Amino acid sequence: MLIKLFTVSEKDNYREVLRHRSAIALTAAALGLATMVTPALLLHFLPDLNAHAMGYYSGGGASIFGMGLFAFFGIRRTLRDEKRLRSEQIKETDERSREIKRRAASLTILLSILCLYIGLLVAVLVNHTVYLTLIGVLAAFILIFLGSLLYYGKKL
Amino acid sequence: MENRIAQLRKERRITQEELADAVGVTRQTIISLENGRYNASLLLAYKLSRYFGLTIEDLFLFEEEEPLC
Repeated sequence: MLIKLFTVSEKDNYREVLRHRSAIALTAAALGLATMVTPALLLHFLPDLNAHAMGYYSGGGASIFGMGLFAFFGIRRTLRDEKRLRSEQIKETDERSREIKRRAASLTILLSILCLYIGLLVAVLVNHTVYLTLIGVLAAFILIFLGSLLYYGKKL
Repeated sequence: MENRIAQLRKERRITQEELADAVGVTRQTIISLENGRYNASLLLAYKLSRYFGLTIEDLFLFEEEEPLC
């Protein structure tokens, strides 16, 4: 949903956007497939690899592979059907829907920061490693936010 | 901001779906505009006023805000 929000605007040629997106979907499916077969290769070098890690690779890879293929065939279907193409374009570029998604994203960020703050207050008392991890997440968030501010400050 | 979209649409016997399709938005957006829950962007305001053959000022009723002291 967020990818759609940030990768298409009313000015764009929607057909071109979908073509690019189908290439991304195929790449994602290929990456998923590669992730799925990784445990088999890893077992060759790391015979003690635990079942949880293997399941993590296989499950994650299979999900990405499945989603990539699903998106690819969905996009191809849309590209072949003019009526569906127009309807999808309206759905994706509708300004009210985009505003709703932007506001939802802002609220999600605000609540995430609040949860992070509470987590930091608890972690500082309980576990130093968790505390440092949360501080790292907060620092990354602030850096990304400042980077985005700079980027959009120049772009708009 | 108030507007005359619902009034003009009914006068001209246009459905919300037809208007939405003509200006490239969803029907829900037209409903929200008519109910005054959502304010159109400049681009959408322009498209709507051109669709009805009016100026933006004729379609959207702008209320002057109190000046800040």
